Amino acid sequence: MIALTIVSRGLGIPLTLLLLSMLVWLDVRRVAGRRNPVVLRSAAAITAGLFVLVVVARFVEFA
Amino acid sequence: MVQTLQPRLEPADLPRPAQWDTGRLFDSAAIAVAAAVAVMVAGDAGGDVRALAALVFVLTVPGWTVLRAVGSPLSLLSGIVSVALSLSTMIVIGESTALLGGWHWFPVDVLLPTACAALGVRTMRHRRGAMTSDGSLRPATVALPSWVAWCCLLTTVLGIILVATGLSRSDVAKIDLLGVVDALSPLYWFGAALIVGGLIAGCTYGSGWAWVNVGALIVALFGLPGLLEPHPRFTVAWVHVGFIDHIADRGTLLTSLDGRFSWAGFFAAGGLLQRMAGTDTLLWLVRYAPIFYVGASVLLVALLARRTAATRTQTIVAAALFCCLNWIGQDYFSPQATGFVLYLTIIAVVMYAFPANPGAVASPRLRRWLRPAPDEWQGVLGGGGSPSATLFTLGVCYVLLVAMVISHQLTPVFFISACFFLVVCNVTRLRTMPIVAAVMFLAWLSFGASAYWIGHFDDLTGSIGHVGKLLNQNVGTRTKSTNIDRKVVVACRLLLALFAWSLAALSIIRDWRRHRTPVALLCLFLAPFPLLFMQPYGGEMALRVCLFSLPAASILIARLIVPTPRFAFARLAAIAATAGLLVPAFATARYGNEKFEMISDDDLAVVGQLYDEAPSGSLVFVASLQTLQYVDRVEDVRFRDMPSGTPSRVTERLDRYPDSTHIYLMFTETQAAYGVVAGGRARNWLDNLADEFLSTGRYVVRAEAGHSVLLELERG
Repeated sequence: MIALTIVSRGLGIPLTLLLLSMLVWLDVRRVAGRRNPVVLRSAAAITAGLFVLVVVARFVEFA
Repeated sequence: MVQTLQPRLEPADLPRPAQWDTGRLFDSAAIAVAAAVAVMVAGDAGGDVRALAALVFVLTVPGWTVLRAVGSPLSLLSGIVSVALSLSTMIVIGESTALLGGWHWFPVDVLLPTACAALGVRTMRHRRGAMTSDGSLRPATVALPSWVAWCCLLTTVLGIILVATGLSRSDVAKIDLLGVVDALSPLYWFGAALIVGGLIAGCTYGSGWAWVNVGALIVALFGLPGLLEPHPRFTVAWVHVGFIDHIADRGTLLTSLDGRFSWAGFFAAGGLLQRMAGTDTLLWLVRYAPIFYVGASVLLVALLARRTAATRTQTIVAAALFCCLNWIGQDYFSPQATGFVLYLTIIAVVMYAFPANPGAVASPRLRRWLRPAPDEWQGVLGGGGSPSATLFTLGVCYVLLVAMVISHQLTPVFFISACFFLVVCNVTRLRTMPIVAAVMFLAWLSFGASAYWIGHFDDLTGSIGHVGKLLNQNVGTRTKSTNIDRKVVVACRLLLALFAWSLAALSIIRDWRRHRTPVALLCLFLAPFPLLFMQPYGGEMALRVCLFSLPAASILIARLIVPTPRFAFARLAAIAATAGLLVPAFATARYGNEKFEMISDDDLAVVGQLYDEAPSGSLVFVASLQTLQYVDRVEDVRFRDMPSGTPSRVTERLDRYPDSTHIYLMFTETQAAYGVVAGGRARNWLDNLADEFLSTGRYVVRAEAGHSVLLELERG
């Protein structure tokens, strides 16, 4: 439970901001006609996975 | 960025004089309003003028000055986006000030208008964004019979006069189980019929002047209770005013009192506006708020219609249908009404600025199944789009999205669903937009709104997938009444919803058979329905689904019933007959609850007395929460549902509260009417209940007006 608390409270907001920045960046590049490299998309996918884990941890902590 | 947010409108959409340097005129007006607001707030002066200037500022100026600073031309889309951006700016700044800034409203309310004025002056001096209104908004060049324009104008003026006269001759005391329809004078109906008649005449000849009739229709249908009733209607709107007043006064978010404080963006923006306007309350906005919200929504529906290749006449008919089918009643002074406008604005910007071609959808199977009409338009940004224009337009979308996420709990979910459908069907290039929206929504729910779900997580998630239970809560409980008048009201609601959905489905099937499926409209129409199976939302999810599917449904119906290029007489007669039925059906469905949704003088007198005498920490028990509550001193005077049981048992339970707590029982005419209309109770049920409590000898009457009464429990 302590680990969950640390993960959800400590990482939640920074990870959200990081993920949002990456997603916006991906969209900006795409609509500007540039192809997003695999590395960038993979990094966004991993960050999204971590974000889901953090959200689940948050709900598990209080549910 | 010059081309950003320039809609592809036909010339005659908006009648206006040519050759006006309207953009600069609006720029100058925006600077004047911003400067005046800054001076009046700083000098704590202005009275009614200050309130009006503050309202105009909050609704238009921040967004307008930013759009013009980046060179956006004057157009319908940039106009409506500036309104949405202004509201979003206020929401984001208001929420930040309440959450992080210790509610220092004064510097915000002075610096924001000052910054807008400075930005406006800079824009005008550098002559950026200073072009005249673009050619797409010049007046109609097609030759029209002049009598059509006169017909539209005359029917509008006469119709509005008849509507106003009819309402002045209507007696609110006659409002009963059929709602407002019980009380309306025949003159009102003549006025509405005249407006609709002019609208049909205008549409028959494809005249843009029919927009004037649409405007009159909005006033006649959505200004009805405001013009008829003595006080602003609907208790929930009064609660919102109370929440705003609390934030304006104390700057705290009472998340433990009410879940709505976890999505307080709208209330915080209202708090800033209340302080900026220098008024004691924002109740003055409640009466005619529906006209603003529906008017903005109608313009957005028109933009979406034009984007999806509707003709001018189809666009006008879609706008009129949106008005006549919008019985759901979610356009009162509320976060969800604001959220709905933001939702439509983001969808419009996405479809205008970042379109893709559904005909080039990646999956061949999906392409075969969809049979999409090709749409190879490159959008207002062009094929690639300059990086600065792209960034700015995306930024606008994200600001609107943030405002929507922090203002209302449900609207973002509808947006995620709609955006997901649009991306899957290749209607937009913004592939990550639904993910961004989902991340924002989940992040706010997890960290910003945890006070809302901690402790009742199971209540929120327990209904997911339980179709029968959800259907019962959404529909079954609303169709239980045995009274014939009530059954008529409920039937009108169901029939209007079925009418809209079935004709929209028919329109899609027709186009699908022709291999011309309007994919964008199909997505927007279907996107709300999956939410029916997720959460009952207090039995209101079906209403929200109906609302969010309505813009696309209106456009689809208009495409179905309005032929190109001209009407045949038989079809015209059918449309006229349908329109003739739609208006009374709308009034019955929309205002069928008016008996308990209007606010009486007696209720106001009793509630006023309550707030005059109830000390801090008082508890007020009510027989139904459908009553005036939390209109003032939100933190000091709390309201509770009365425990069930006989008066003596209830009194025993109330006695368990500490002696220092003042306990009141409030029985109002609104509660009585709610019991009669929605619960099928006898008309004097609440009078009898009050008498039963008084007969226990433990209560004293603190206030009494008409059938409303305030009792206080005598302690010790």
